[in-house]
Amino acid sequence: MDKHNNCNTGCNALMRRIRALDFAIQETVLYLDAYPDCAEALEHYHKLVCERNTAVAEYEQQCGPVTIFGNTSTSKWQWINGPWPWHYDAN
Amino acid sequence: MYIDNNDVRTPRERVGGELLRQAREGDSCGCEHRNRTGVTRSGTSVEDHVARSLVNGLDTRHSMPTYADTDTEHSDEHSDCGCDGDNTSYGGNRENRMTRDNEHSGCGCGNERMTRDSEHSGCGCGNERMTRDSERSGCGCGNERMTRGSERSGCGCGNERMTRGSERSGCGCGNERMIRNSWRSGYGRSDYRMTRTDTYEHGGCGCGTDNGSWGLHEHPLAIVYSPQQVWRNVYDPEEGMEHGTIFAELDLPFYGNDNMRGGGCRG
Repeated sequence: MDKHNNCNTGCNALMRRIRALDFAIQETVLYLDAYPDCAEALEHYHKLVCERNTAVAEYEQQCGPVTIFGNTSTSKWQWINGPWPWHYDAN
Repeated sequence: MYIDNNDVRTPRERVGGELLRQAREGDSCGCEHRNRTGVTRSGTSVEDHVARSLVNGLDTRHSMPTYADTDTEHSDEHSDCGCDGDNTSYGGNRENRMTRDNEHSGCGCGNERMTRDSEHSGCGCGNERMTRDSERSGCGCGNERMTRGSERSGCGCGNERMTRGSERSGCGCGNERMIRNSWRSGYGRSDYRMTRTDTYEHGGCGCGTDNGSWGLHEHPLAIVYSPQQVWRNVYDPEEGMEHGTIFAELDLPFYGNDNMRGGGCRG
């Protein structure tokens, strides 16, 4: 069974974490756009990016690619196995 | 006044015509001021002035003393009688007595008893009893009790009790309790604790402080100011997703219309 179409709470939880981190990074970037010299904000940005990369790597290892750049297999195009935009898991 | 039965003008037109004639001939305009120069302080012509008097129902039949030897050009000696309610010589020369007689004001904004002296304002914005002294404002925008002093603002934006002091802003906008402390700006939301940064003496919110500066009286006019955000009170990523922002200071309540009580998305 496609791991994205079952109730895989692990993949869902990881995806929620990735989305939360993406949102936090976006907010931090908006702040840095206004205050580019803020050391605290810059430090927070790097921390979030590091956490996001870790979460994405974990997701792609367990669940499949997050983006088209995350296809880890050299023999199979995994992206096509992910949820399509109209699937619940994709949103 | 002689009335010619063959005159097809309305009574108002007849009176107005007579007054205009008097005004042009240098007689009393009939309202309050005799204006030799033909220009009122408000910049309108005497004719316009008279016309407005009629529009506002000013009783121009009060016999007025003429000031034959004085230049009654609307200057500091006289407030702009306005006759349209614009008699806000707030801050102007209160010593001048704009009266129609000893008991009547000379603005005629529908207020029969408006006086101006050291104790009363004469703006006549529909308020019969408006006073101005060191403790009370005289803006009279429908607020019977507006005070101004070290503790109270006088903006009169419908707020009866607005105070200004070290703890409260004086902006109004329906905010009864505006708090000022060292690190928040004051935006004047109705039930949010709005405060003011150290850099401002006054909250930057409201509907006009007594000096009309919106709490930024030390700043130049016609320049938009925005408070500086400081990096602090940041939510965790998951919590930020829930609140819609990672900045606690920007996590403000949303008030929809009456059909959306409790907010829309997060209600």
